[in-house]
Amino acid sequence: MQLRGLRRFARTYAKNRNATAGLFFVALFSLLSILAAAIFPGDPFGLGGDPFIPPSLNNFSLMGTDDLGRSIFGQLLYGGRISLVIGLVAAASSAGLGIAFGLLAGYFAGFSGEAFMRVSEVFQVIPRFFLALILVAALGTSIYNIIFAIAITSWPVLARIVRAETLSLKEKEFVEASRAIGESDTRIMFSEILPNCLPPIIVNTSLLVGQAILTEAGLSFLGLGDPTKPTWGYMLYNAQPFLRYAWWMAVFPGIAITLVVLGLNLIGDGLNDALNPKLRQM
Amino acid sequence: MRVAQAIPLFFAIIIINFVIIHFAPGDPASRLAGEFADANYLNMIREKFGLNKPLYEQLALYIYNVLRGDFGYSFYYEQPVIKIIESTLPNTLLLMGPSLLMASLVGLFLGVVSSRKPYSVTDNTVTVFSLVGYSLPIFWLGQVLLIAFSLDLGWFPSAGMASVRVDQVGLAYVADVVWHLFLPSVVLVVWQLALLSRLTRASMLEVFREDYIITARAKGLPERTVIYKHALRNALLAVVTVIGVNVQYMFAGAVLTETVFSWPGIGRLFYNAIFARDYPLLMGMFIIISLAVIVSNLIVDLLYGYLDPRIRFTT
Repeated sequence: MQLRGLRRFARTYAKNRNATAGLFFVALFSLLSILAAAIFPGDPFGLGGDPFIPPSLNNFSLMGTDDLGRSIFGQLLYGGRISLVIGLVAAASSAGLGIAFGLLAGYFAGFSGEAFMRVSEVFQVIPRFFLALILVAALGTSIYNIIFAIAITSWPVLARIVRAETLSLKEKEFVEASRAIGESDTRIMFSEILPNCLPPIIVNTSLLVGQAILTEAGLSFLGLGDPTKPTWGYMLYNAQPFLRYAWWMAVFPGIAITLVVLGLNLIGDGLNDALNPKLRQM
Repeated sequence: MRVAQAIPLFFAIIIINFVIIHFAPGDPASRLAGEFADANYLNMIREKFGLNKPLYEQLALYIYNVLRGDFGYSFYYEQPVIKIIESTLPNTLLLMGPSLLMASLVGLFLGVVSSRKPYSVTDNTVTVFSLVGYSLPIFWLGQVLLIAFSLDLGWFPSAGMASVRVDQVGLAYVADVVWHLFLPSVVLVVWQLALLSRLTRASMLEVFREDYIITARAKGLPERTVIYKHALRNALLAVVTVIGVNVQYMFAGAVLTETVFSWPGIGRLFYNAIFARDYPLLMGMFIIISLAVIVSNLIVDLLYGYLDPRIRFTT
């Protein structure tokens, strides 16, 4: 039964050409960053060649070199690792917060539910990018602070979705039944309600990864990236003063970000179509 | 009613600021004064914000100062924060306003066109365009346009808001500013267009399924009337809401775009304030942007009531 559901899901997903293309982009860049050391041996941030070599057909200067003579291709491979990890960890933490708050607020409605709604309203209006910005400026530009700032400013959307699902699910017969046989609240929340709100959680988390990568890039571009762990956004920050001399410093990292985020958005759309039973029946 | 909801929101934002000042590692005084403040000024700040008094008194003092419009003094610019923001914010609004208007008009048009024949060539083109536009880092789009149209082709200036070496007056000055405004505006328009055209299309398709549209068509009304008089009016509601929710992202987009084009708006302030760790300026801008977002949400709510008679007559 489970297996058949999974196979049907895979079939619906594969039929969607956009979603398959999205998966391809994300898989490609994940592979490139996993295999970075094999594709580009040596230190990508060590000084190696002449500055501002235009893109040419060899591994080192495939995408040209920067103002310090470092390989853009090498930086792109290793920077991708950090961009992708920041995206994944920030999205996962944000999803964790969102699920926890959403479940609690939905399950224990009444005062705590109300209080939660007020808090999430504040977070909806508050300019998220700028809150993340002053958080990183005040806490310091380490990769952990950046992840924290992105996660703490992006959980409310998912929390509201989970809360709404929980509110309607907890009235269903199967939840009543488990309550009647005396199951604990924790068990009901995690083994009865949570599995049933997984589809919107999965869709939203895949979109969150892309947003987190874009937010990090924006913070880096304003000078709030972790200088010890350069990401694609940090490469664009480095490129800005040299746009006149070295277009390749800006063009390639930007293409990488765009393709990965586009891929993640397409995957999100595809998952939405494949997991949404209403659309399946149509 | 709406105003009563907006006020606690504003207080919540001031309190969040206060929490960051006091609980981030390091000395709160240096966060209130900026990293390069001298010892005298630090002492004055400790006195002014009562940093040796109990926390609740400090909070009260902080709120009192913010409400008076006193966001402190910027050591980097050597001016009171509020003065700097006052003189810079209009430049940012000059960039945001026209591009938002343009993006809304074109976005509505594209959305309507592509909703009329879903999955046609036109519709697919608009969809691909908006998906890509939605996924790219806005400042990178700026960098690419700057490289192509300004540095390479030389059609547009690469930085600033007006030519420096010539003293222009009247229409010539306006034309010069528009010329400088063009590329950064295109960046913001493309970026917002992606979202607005996608959204208009979705809400038009939804409206098309409603009974009153089917009735209008069955009555034999011309397709134009059905779309522009009946359907678009309702689709507008969704679009207005989204514009309201997105004001904060437009600010973020404008700040990043300004940095690329050295536009003398709050984007450059952010860049310099981050570089100089000028916390009073950063916090001041955060409060002002939050206030702008709250006010524009309020305006959108009122506009919504005006556009939707169901709401107008029930409240």
